[in-house]
Amino acid sequence: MKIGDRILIAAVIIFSVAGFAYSILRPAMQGDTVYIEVDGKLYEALPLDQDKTVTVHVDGDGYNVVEIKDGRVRISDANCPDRLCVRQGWINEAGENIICLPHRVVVRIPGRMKNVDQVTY
Amino acid sequence: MRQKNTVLLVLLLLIMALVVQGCTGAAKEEPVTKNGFMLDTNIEVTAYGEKTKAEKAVDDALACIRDIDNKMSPELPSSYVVKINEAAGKDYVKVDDETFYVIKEGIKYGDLTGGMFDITVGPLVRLWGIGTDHARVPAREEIDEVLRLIDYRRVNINESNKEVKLPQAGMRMDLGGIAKGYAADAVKEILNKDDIKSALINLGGNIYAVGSKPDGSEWRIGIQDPFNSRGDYIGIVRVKDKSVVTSGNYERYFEANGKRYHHIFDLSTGYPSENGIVSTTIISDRSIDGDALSTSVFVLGVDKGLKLVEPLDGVEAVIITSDKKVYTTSGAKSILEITNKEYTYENR
Repeated sequence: MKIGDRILIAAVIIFSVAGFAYSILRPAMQGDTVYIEVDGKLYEALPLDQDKTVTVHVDGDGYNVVEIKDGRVRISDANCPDRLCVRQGWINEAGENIICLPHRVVVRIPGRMKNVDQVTY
Repeated sequence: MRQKNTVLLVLLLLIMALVVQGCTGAAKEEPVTKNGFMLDTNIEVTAYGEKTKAEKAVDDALACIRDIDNKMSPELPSSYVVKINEAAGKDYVKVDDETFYVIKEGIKYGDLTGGMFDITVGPLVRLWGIGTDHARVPAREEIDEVLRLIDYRRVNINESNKEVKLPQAGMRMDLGGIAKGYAADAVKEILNKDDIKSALINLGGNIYAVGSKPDGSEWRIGIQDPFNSRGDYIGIVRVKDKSVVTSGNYERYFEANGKRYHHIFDLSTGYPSENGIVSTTIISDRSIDGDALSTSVFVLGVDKGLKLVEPLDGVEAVIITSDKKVYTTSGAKSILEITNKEYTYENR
């Protein structure tokens, strides 16, 4: 086997493995944006890897505080009647969401979940 | 030697080509997903297929849900339900075919469950105000007073004119326990008409898994872990072309005096249902059945609930109790895989 053959074979193997790894890892990288929606409409889209806190204002004096920190996101405070959105805590994976029904606020990380297509709740 | 290497090289190139092919193949199947806030909940419709076709189908689906919300909402002024409630004790209200159908289905489920499911539950829902800023534990006398207004058998139906009337002022119809199920069925019809073979409808946690996955395999639907954050599941059901609907006590509630009061009422007491059940999931062909049955089984309890669902053709139930036991109908065992080891099967 000539040196050229070896280089060529090595190159082919590296490209194959790299391509394969990319195809596997890609879905995990889709979960890198946080979408904040109010009443079904996009309010703000934010990168999940940059720490930031925004206050979402709804219907006059209603608010939900969305906190992004260390690659996770939560609703840290809200003046909705039940505050179930605050209780839901942190999410960090594609396909997860936090919903504030009284304020019609949804915080979602789009993308596909790992082992299931949807979760019924 | 030289020839061998060439063969090897060709083989490797072939593998690489397959890998790249695999990637582009997956990219072609990128689905179209759209969200909205309707039927008092978060909704999401995902359709697979050719892009423009899938786009149109999802738009049609959202328009369909909007239309149903406009007709059956407990609040929107356009709603027939609002008009029926305003005319309670006075007049008949003419409704459209869809609303008439849903009201009659609601009455049917009242009969099937011995009144545990009741579309005239409105006064009780309003009294507790769960999810609103006036949520509170009412006094016993207040509850007794509104319970007297709740009886689906008293709804007047004029079959020939499609007119509906509540005979007493203060009575209130609430289709919240059945409208999402109806909407999922209607959306499924629309997606079929738009030639979509593969889609997921999610109406506030009520799932309709339309057809099969794009590769022909079964959809994998997780059942929410009642004691953990949204997205954590206790197990997975594998289905094709089925509705999967859950009622849980963790979804809408408030706390007072250290006690949790959730939104699924036991009409024999007027209080939130307390029988050890924390969630019920119904797998069925029609989502309207799943919607009504998940609530009914939740209130009926494990024994009566399973007895209600077991004889129904093509309908299965998965019940989770507060001690993390899982009870199912006999047919559910072959499609449910419990993945969270904290939960165990229990036979009745």
